[in-house]
Amino acid sequence: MLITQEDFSIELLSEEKTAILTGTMRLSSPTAYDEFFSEIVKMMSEGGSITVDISQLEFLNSSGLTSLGRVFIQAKNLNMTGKIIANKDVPWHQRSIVSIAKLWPKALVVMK
Amino acid sequence: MTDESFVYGLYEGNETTEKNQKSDLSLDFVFPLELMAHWRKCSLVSNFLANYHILTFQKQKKAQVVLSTVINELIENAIKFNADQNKLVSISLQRNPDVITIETMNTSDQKNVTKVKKFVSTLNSGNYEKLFMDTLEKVALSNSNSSGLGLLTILKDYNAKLGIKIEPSTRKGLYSVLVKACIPISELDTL
Repeated sequence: MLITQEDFSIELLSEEKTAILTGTMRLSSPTAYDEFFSEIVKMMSEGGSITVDISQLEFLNSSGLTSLGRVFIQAKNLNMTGKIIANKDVPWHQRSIVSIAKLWPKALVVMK
Repeated sequence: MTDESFVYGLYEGNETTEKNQKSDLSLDFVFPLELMAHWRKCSLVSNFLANYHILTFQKQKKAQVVLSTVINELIENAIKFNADQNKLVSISLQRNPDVITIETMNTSDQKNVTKVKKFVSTLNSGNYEKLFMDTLEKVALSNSNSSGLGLLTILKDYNAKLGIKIEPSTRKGLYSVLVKACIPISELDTL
């Protein structure tokens, strides 16, 4: 499944249980992200392990960090393991993402 | 200064110097009332201002991402907490040898001014990572539509200094809100 908007895309690989976020996500509020991130949450409904790949996500505003934090809290509540793939060359990946990943203790942050 | 004025951080005690400084680039823009449809303009303006200022940096891509991120958070705040009918926002940038200064100005009402003052009162601890995590958990669990994390992200991630100045506007019940962030050049070149 591929969700494509003007500035970003979200690719959901159901077999691999992987969500790949690409581009610029600067939506106007945390709830504006719901329609997109709810697809990631749906993918978690079967339990197990998932991968959230943001290595090609150039920008995410603070509303998006909040919304992604909600996704990570849901993953934690479902006792899921997982991987967050980030990009070592993107400053906010090394900082904000490392911080919000603490909300999902069973996730491994991989800096590509 | 009237009783209703408020200053924090970078605005404390340096007003004379400020008035003598000229920005390298400033922009006033109005944000249409149908703001959701135009929200992408925040990003467009942020990227333009960042691109304008990165030409002399060694690591231009990283500097662009940091500057655009900081500018975007300031612009989004200035629009969200704007009480002006036309959503007028002013932004200026200035590069000095050691820092880049970004300043926004908008008009706000009493309710939002109270929120800003409350936010500032939480900054005293200086432990921005803890404040960020506490705020994130609070808003993530509350279904709140206002994250409140933008300025904390700037402080926490980029070693920025912050200033806030609130002054009564000439229009009754409204205030001018100035927000200034200083990012050390070393943060942009050594990332």
